[in-house]
Amino acid sequence: MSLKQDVYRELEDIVGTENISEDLAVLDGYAFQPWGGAEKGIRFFERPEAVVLPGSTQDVQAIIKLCNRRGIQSRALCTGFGSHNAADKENIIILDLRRMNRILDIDEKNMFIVVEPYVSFAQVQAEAMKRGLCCHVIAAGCQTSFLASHTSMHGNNILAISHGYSGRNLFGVEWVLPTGEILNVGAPGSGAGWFSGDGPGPSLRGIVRGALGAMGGLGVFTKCAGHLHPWPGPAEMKVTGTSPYYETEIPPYYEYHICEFPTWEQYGEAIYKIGEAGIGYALHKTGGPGTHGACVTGSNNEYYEKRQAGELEIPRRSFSIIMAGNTPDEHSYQVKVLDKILEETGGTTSPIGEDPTFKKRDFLTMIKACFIPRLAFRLTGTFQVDGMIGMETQDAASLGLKANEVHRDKYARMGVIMEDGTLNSWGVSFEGTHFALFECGQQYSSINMESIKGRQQMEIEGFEICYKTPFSFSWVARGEEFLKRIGPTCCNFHDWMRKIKKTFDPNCISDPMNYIPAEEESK
Amino acid sequence: MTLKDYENDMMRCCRCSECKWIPQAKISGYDFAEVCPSIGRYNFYAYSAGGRLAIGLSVLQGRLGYTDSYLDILYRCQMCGACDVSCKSNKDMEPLAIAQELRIKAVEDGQLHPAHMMVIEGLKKEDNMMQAKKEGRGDWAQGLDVKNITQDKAEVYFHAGCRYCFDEELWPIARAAINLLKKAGLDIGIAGRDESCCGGRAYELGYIGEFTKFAENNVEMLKTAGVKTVVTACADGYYAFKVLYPKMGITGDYEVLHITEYLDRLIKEGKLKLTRKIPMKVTYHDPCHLGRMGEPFVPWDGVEKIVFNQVYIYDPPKPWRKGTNGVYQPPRDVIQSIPGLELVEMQRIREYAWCCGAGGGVIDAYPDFAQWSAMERIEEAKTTGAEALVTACPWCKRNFKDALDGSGDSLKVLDIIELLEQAI
Repeated sequence: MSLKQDVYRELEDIVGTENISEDLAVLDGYAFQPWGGAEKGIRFFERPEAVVLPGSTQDVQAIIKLCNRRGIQSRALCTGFGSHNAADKENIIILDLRRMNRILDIDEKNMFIVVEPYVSFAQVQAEAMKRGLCCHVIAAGCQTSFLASHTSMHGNNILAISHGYSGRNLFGVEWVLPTGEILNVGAPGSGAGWFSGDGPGPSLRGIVRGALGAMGGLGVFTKCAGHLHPWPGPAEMKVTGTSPYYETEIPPYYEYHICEFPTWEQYGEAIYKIGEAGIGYALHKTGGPGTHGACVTGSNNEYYEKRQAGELEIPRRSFSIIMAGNTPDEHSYQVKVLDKILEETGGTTSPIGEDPTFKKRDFLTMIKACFIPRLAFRLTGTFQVDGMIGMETQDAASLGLKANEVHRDKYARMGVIMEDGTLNSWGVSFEGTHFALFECGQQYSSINMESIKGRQQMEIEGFEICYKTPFSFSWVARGEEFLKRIGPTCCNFHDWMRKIKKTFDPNCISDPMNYIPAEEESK
Repeated sequence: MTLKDYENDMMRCCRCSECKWIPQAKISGYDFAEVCPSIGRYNFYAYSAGGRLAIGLSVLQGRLGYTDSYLDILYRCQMCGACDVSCKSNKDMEPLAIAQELRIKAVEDGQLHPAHMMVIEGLKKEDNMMQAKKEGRGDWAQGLDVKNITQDKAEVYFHAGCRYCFDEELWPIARAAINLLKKAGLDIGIAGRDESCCGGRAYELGYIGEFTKFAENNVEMLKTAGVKTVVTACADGYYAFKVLYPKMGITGDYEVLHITEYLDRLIKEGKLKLTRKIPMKVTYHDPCHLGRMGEPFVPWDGVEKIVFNQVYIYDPPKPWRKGTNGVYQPPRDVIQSIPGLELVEMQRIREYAWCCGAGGGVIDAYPDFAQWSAMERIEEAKTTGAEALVTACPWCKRNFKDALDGSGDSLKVLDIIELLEQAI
């Protein structure tokens, strides 16, 4: 099926001839969604009917109004990383927001930035650092859209312990509702600037995105403000070396270590204490997302050779931590506190984290998240969560990682996932460790069907483990069947999502694939 | 290799979009973070390396035939290799090779771009890419006291290339190159009217047969002449002699040098003395085919092997062309050896430099896109405060000059040879 000619012409009138296409070669660029496709053994999803490149909020509004008039569904995307950006059925057009790519304001004093959709985390962070500020960078990597994550996705990250996740950092939003109306959420709703997502003005962050984001299922976000945080480091991180061996010196008053523990309980206890002491700038379970050894090597062959030689051994029960002091005294205090915490929890600093090369490269990726494709995708071609994922307390996260060790080892022995001796399950702790995430990603072959099917089985089993334990909160909860099962374990959140969808999108213009369809209500 | 040989690479693309940007670790601000002119100008994902991988896979899977936009997507690309560098910074993949195979396949399938057909017809008839009469090929060297290697023996062969031979405005640069090499006491020769195209551009357009013919003829000529060193002042020519000929197994017993490498060597050996001051602030543009594309070709014949259950490696290890072993320092050293000259760097340099816009047949088929790409670079150069944008390739110089023409901009575009000529 293709768009009616008069609809195409109307869209063309809005964005201009150069900014619309229904050519199959162009459309295949959008149907191609290998991450997410690989887990099903496919690479291409449904082709959208057309792709449009709006250049302004007014363009977006006109397109969405047209969709309402002509009964067409839409899906907006930025870089399009992940299968939630694909059209999954006919009669969907894609709005590629690439042309909307400006930084509109950086308010240094009030520590926020206002951006259009196609500004990347790397760009925001680099500009922020020039001003003594920083932003968190999501685990999908710094090449992704700052706005897309803040408005529409979960947004977990390595800096979460000090910066929080995307939902916490969202301030004012300009939102083209699925009806085509424009709503300014938070302070901009009352013309008071962009400094707050909750007012003065309508406070709708829970509806706009909640914990996980609507993933394109609830209109189009065309501007947003995001929180920036203090950065006591240099105005520009001096990156030395040539591709792929980029690295940076640890700045003065910064510390980077890998800390390892005899048990998961001690691992969790140490994280709690670090949160209480407020000494963590960045912290995550070492190993993920992906393999840290891959991060510090330039090719799969190099990684393999080093592992064969007994190098790059990452301790299983370990986290990597960065501390950032403003002064020598603060730095000294942080070092002493960490030493004390390790002493109290039976932890030690791991030698691998003290290797100068490892330190310089891993520090870089912990701050910038600039090597994510190499961490997560290079070794086998793809990776995916194995069904075990959750966000609750640090205790729950530690327990989840412990349970995943067994789950992971079983499938590694079966040969369906990578077995390099590392436990690549990931975990971060948010906002002073008041709550925490564990996310168990496994690297598997994107080509070998036995590996693909084996991982599918692993995911099903992983879900079952989560259903039977307190780990059921999950953003992989997509699709009717999954939501009906997981919803009741989490206050029937899916019923509320459905009500929101019905209210804000009466004509179901935003593709609900990764949010929720409005038609059916479960009890 | 064929498109099919790269199927696993296409299957392993994760669509992360890194191919659109300079390596992420090197991004140091909002401006000049993107690296691919194609997606930068045309915006649809298909115009990125990831998009072309998707098209390649779709073709292999039989989903996609030739569409109205297909050739535009293929050829609105300078084949500058920037995407390849950024992708390979994090992945073990060959995105540029896939774009090349798509072009070769299109030509094999008879899907020819009209503008390129004219250029190739000209190449077949007149042995050059400029659609000019071959009789005039040696005119640039008229009056120069220099040997012709088709008649005399010379140790060093200077290959002028199509652009220098037929772009009269640039003749003084080629002539200055000869004078500099002679001043250093080299036994230098040219082929004059008998020189022919290096074939490199034909290769990039997908015309492998034409490329092979010219490569074989050139190497045969060099063998007959007993040349020990081939020097070119053109980055495209350097890439052809240095990388493409060995890649296609067409080799001879000679060293290939870009003139900046040779001049750097001569200056360091004291054979060229730079005495005159040039008080000027300049910035240097790395020509793609001298920089990231110009790293030496290392043959590899191996297979993919699976280890650690599902990790793929290559046996023997594959010598990845990550763009870092190109010619970057010699031109900089030459510039910095000139008294009074101050070199200031742009944001995008060396392996992640932005392309001038001329390459890959873009200047022939999409001159507006070539100019757009050049203007992006000129804007970047201007942010450094430089008075001149210096390069080391006639295609870059021509494209920058054309982009600046009529703009009222005072930025000069100079070749390193011009600077050196002034400094001696």
